Amino acid sequence: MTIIREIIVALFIIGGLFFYVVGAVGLIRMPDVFCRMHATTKADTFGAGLVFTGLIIWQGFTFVSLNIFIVMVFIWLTMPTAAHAIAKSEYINHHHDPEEAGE
Amino acid sequence: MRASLKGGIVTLFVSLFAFWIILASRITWPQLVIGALASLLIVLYSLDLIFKNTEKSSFSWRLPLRFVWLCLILIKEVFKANIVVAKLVLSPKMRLNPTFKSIPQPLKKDFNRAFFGNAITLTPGTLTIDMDENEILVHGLLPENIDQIEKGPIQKAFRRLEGDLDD
Repeated sequence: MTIIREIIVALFIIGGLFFYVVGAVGLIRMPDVFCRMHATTKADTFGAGLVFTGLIIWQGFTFVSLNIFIVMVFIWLTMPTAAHAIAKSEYINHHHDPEEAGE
Repeated sequence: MRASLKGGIVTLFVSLFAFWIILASRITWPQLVIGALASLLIVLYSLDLIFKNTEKSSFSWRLPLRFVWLCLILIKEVFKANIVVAKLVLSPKMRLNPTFKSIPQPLKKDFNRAFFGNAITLTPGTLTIDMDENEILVHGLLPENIDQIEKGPIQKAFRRLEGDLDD
């Protein structure tokens, strides 16, 4: 039984690391700021989600896993907010007319 | 007004106290007393911040259910779209077509709008740049990604949360 659980945990963590790698590769390969934002924020959020899910399964239902869950929730709340702040500042700095990008 | 004040105090206190207990990881009397005192202090300190929310909403059990449903849909969509973007990033020729697009704002409540903006950013391939009462400015890696947001299940789930759409 523990073997099965360990395999599942390992799958989750490997999946999370895979998405972290995708985020890093995307950061290098993408052409401009916005596209790079896509790669890093998304892949990292999802990677963190998978790794933490794996850790929760590994822990079972304890206070520690509740703490991990809270960390996960806050990462999922703050990462998009930070991405939004960076994207907006980039947009204001380099696309001077906010109206024209509407089409 | 008075009722909403009391409700706000109780909600904030209970959530802070629950948060403290989870962080403290053990339930003993000193922990509980310190936690209750700290929560009370924070509630008193932020009294003038709590009650800005004037948007009245009648509570029903369907709301949390819809919220959970929304979170499940969001996780599913994030999962699907992450695979698409991972394929895109790892393919030898990245066929990107970065696009800005304004999509109409489907929601009315501020909280839901902020949450929707975050959900758009969480969904890979799309990024919220700016938002006001009428429209949301979205940047997409591919135009299809934006179409997915504009007509996809996430937006429907949000409108259902707001009671705009029946289930």
